[in-house]
Amino acid sequence: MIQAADDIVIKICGSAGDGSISAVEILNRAAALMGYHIMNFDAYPAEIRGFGKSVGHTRISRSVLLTTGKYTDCLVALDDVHAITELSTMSKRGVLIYDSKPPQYHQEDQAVAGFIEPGMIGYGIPLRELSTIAVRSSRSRNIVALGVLAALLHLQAEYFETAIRKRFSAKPETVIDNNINAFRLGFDYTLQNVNKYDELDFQHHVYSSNRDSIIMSGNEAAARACLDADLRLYAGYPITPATRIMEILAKELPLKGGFVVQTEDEISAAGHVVGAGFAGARSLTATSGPGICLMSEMINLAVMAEIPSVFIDSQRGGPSTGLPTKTEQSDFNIAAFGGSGDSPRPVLAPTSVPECYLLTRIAFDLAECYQTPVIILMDFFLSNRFEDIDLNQLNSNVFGRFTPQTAPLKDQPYLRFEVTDTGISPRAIPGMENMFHTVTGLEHDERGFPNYGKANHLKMTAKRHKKMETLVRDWQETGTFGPEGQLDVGFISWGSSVGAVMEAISLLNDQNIHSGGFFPRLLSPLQTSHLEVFSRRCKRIIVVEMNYTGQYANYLQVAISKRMERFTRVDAEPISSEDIVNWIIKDES
Amino acid sequence: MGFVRISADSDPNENIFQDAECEISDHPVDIEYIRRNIPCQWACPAITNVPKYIGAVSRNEHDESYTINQNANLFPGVLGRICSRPCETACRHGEIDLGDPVAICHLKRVASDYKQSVLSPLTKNVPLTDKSIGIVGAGPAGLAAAHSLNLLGHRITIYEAFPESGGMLVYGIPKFRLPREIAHREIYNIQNGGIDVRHGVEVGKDIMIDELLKHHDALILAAGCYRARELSVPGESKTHVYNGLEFMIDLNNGKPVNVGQKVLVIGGGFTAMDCARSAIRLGASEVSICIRNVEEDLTVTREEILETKREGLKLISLVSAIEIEGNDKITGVRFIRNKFGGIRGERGRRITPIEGSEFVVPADTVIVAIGQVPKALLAEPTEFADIQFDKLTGESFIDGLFAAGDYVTGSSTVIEAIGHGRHVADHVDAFLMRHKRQQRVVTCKPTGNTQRDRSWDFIDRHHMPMISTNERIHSSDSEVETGFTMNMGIEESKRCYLCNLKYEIYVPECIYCRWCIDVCPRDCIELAESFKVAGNSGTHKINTTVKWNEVSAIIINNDRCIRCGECFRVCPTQCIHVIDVNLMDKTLVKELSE
Amino acid sequence: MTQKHFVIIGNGAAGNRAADVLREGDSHAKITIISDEFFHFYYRHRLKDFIVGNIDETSLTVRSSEYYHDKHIRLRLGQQVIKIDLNSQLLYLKHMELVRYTHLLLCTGGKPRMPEIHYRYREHFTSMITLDDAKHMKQQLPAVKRMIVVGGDLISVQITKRLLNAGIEVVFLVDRDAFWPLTFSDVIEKDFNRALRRAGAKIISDDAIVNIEKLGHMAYQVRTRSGENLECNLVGGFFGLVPQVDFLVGSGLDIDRGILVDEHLKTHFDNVYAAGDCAQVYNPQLSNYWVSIGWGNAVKLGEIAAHNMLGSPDTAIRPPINVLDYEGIEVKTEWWQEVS
Repeated sequence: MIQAADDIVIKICGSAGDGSISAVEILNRAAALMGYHIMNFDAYPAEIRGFGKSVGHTRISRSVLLTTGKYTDCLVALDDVHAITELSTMSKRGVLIYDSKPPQYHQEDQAVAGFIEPGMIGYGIPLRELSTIAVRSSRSRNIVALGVLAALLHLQAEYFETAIRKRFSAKPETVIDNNINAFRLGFDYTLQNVNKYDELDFQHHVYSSNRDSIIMSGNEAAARACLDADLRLYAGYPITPATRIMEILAKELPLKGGFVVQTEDEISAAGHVVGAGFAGARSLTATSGPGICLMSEMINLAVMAEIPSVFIDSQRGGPSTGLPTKTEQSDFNIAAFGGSGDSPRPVLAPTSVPECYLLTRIAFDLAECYQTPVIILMDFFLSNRFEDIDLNQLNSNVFGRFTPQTAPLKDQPYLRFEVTDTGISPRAIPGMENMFHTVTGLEHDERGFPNYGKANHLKMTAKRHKKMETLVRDWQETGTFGPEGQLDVGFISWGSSVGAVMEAISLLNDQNIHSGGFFPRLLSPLQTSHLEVFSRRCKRIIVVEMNYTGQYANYLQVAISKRMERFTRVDAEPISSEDIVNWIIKDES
Repeated sequence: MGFVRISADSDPNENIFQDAECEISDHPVDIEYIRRNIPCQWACPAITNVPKYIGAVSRNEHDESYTINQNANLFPGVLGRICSRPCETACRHGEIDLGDPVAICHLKRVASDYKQSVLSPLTKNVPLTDKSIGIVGAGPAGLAAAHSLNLLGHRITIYEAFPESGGMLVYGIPKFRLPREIAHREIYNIQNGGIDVRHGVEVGKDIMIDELLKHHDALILAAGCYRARELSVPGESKTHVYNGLEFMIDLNNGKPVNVGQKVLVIGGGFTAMDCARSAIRLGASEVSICIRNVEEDLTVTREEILETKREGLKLISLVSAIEIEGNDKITGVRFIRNKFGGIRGERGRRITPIEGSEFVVPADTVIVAIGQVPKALLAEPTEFADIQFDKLTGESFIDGLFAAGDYVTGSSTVIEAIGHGRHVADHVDAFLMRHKRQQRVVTCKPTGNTQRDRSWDFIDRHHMPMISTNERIHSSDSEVETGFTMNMGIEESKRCYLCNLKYEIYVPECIYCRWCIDVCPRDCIELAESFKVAGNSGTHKINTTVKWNEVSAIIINNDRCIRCGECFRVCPTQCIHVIDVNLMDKTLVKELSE
Repeated sequence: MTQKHFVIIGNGAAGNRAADVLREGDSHAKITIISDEFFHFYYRHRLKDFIVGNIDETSLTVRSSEYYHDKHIRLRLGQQVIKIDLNSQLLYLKHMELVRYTHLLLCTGGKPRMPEIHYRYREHFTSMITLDDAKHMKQQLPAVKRMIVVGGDLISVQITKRLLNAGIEVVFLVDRDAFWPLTFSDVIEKDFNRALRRAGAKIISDDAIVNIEKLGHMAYQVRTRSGENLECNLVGGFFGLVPQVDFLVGSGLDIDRGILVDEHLKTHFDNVYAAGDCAQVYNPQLSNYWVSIGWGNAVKLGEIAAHNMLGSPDTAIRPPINVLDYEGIEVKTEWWQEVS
């Protein structure tokens, strides 16, 4: 990223338990209160206790953010040994805040201060000592560090105090006071003792704070969508990075009369979800790659039996248990094609936290409208990143309206799987009067009775695919982004990688490389006509995704004749706009 | 030997020794613990219990504080002004990263300045004996020895050549550093305890050593160092060349001295500083102190050097005088420039003149203050002429003849002389009573609180208020340092870590929660894999670990501990114990049962 | 064999020149520069132009950070050495890090001298030696109408001239006591006063400060011995430089005013050298130890020290005859050339 004085990437790095994550949480809140946009993506060890590294990573800017930023402008080191490993991501004129009063002398090269590169600026602050003065313990180092940050970056202190109050609102008053003391001490110490030598500066600016905004992660957004969509049953088996959805729903859903079941495994969870769908209740499960594998059979059943159900797959590094706390986009194949037979189902991919909300909400409508399982592909990066969200954003409807078709009362016998122009049959819920029908995983006729006849199988398979064509026709979002007309470079990307690509596009356009993007939220079925229009406009087409083979590119390649280039990464980190831009510039010159 | 428990009815520390919870030990390991852990007390030649008296000041108990001092060093009011402060150099608060040492000396003065009760002699520990002791010289060493022996029940007679008691305290130190009435009050308080002092008696002239030996069961020579060391350069006998000690004695006796405009003081000790500062007060416009080495080598405190410079004095370093020039009137001093050879602090380091580097500095007066040596008292009768005294015990090969203080150790500081005087007194007592009656013991008593607050560790050292440099010149006898206010005293006393408190984790009650490590101010609490105490030396070694499954105990390393008390306060199981450890002198009345 | 580690304390002319020479002579050794200032190597003598706005901050910089990247020189800025253990060859840094060296070069430079007689009100003096000082002063200048300058070193004269040009009224208090420990020769005084007066300063000689009182923000009252009360917005105290060696006292090095070194700039420790404004070398012509101050000297001394550290003996240059004694420190007159 091009470093601007008021677009700053901050990392707070410590050992697990040092409070780096909760410090960043407060920082985010305070910044949002001041009207800044934030994007936050923490990294922590797979183990909860111990000596592992834990990094709170946030970016604060006055403009809307699309990525968390590749280079760190400001690193706070709560633990020297871990912080040293973070230094490689520092920007050239980055700022390091380190503890100048650790309990004992570090040998050379074990103190982070020894690694400051020429050009960077390091401020030694006695974090531990200040914390001891404030709360008689070194445990408030993180909050002291926030005070230092606020004073150094010229952010207004009172917003932090509000944020601290909110963060600890459930705790006794003394805890709040202690933390505010610690913050103040760090703040005042810095004002009095530290000369500022760096250029990072928010200039005490406060933007309109009447923005109706809220800070949310992708998981929280998805869970909230479930609640708003009147979910009745959540069944699931916990797995990183999807667990948080279950945690929230476990707390909230029973209050709204819904049910949460923790099942013995993912097969059972999917069974619950399909069962509830069959019974007419909105149901959902959230899992990750290993779970979706186990669920494939039940998803197939839902396709065949045309039962509405929603599955969230928050992807992580694979295969198998893989990399539990690292991000990847490598479940597209199993989401779109997993299972036996011709098994078409919609696959959605949100590109931001608000879209996690919107697409989850709409997934329930889709499921009921097209009577199908719907899979939402999130990933670790989306699930766990926090963004400030304008509440109005959550009311938008850019994707279209999808209303479920209910069966009219007719004299003729009810045909649950009646073949129609749209492929959508009238749906009835078991127990409805005069709507007797059979549901099975076996191939069936329009009434639902098993039927293995040649003609019937052909007819019913076509019917199930016809629903997808209808969906593509109904789907309003075109997925195109960027300038009109001919493009030097056209990007296609999906899911959490889209932010980086959008950022890259604007950087490339700044450098007069005409570029634009096609970012479908409906990954499958394919919006072929939009794709064709887009591909005709592009000199080069580059598909950006976080998997090794280019799973989505492979899927697209069959639909268009133009050769597609693949920008694929599996380095366990989100793709950065800088990487894309550098790749393009190297090629173009 | 183990633990000693002996009753002594009149022992001032009786209440401590009688306390059932208090354990008493004279084991070398325990003594070694004190050496490592209460550095100030160990650094004091008189073994003054520094943490105890500072603790008393912080509680506003100035009388108590004064008495603790008086017990060890006799003259709290005097030493609170002019002590050389070896304790402050040793103070744990002065360790790297911990700030400045506690103003131990100034706090002694606080105790003296603000004590309520009238000064009174200490009471005797033991019943009277029938022994008579003669002491030559009523200076710090003589008075210290007299005081100790008096408390042990002996009869004391001091022979003093000057018309007043006090020795160097009265004759060698300028009034602006130590007002006379302070010195007199404390000196006469000692004498009032029942010590007979005969002034104006010069031993070796008015009365002879062998006579004194006949009169007394024991005789202690504590005549100090009153012969000035000479420069041994041409021109030293000219009229305006003084030796430092004479110069001070003349001034203190009120003799008029004219120093002219330009004064060169040669030498870098306390006397040289005093001479230079006095010369300024006598109206000299330019006073320089000439030393053969560098500022860092001066024995006086950094504060004193700064004050000296503030009064306008200059320092000429790395020079040696080789000739005092001029005819009747001095015109200047010819110096040669010095260089160092070898590494500082190592053997074989020399200061040598650089050939051909001579130069002259103009002067009206030269004061030579390069140290003093004892005046021979034993010249008559001659068979005593070459008696050697043991520098440690003061003994000689003649039964009953001892020497103490500067007379035997060579010129030293007041506190060293007092310490030595007391030390020799113990030997004299043992000699007279045929067994040792004074014993150094360690007492340990659990205490339920830390007596400190963590915030006190961040108080900065208080600076001694002083009168302005103008006032100093205008009224030359006014005391420069005006003393801490009572409040400053209390604030400063809070800075003391109270190193006499020992923090211990009682391992069977520890639940390894490591909260103490979260709150500890530095690496003073360690995760130990194993722990080893080496023999009688008291040194120990902790093998630390960072792996939780290898921890056998969490241990407080008292060498690193600053007694902030945070671990004690945070401990959820109260397994951290605070123990009050003190080094004391115990008087044994009866012989120890074997 | 362990890798050589050349540590240079001080990021000024001497330190940087030494680092260059060391890198040329040994491409494998580890080289570290430690400085308690945050700024990259800058032209100290341009600061006076910087404060009055004649030049901007970029023209102060001697070399950029890329230089150190390219030469593999580790630059530790804003870090302070507080203690040296010469026997174990260990540096204690203020932020609690231990740095081991095989060869050490001390180029700590000078700090403003504050005569002890002014100690009581020393915090009211403004001085200018580092870029930090200069920035601070530059910030204050727009609000300054009248400034009192006390002292008489070269910087005071240079700054006075520039302040006058910038339209600030300057009262120059020639404090003979604070100025030269030796007799202030009439010839120098005349030259000195003439130069200042020509530039437009008001000169007060034969008087001395007895007190400075702060009346408010940027308002001071200076009382002199003759009873005059002068009011001003800023009091400049310029009493020359003294070597910055406080942290070395007690380390075992020989410290007089500066670090005593032989003609090879070596201390009594085989691998410890000193160069620049903090080193004191014996000079037979003066029968005294001298400190040569100034950019040119620092560069030369840095070079000599580096040669010796690399094992090729080189000897410090002899000072010219025209040196002045400055509180026991001999200052080359080269420094004074701008006065007349």
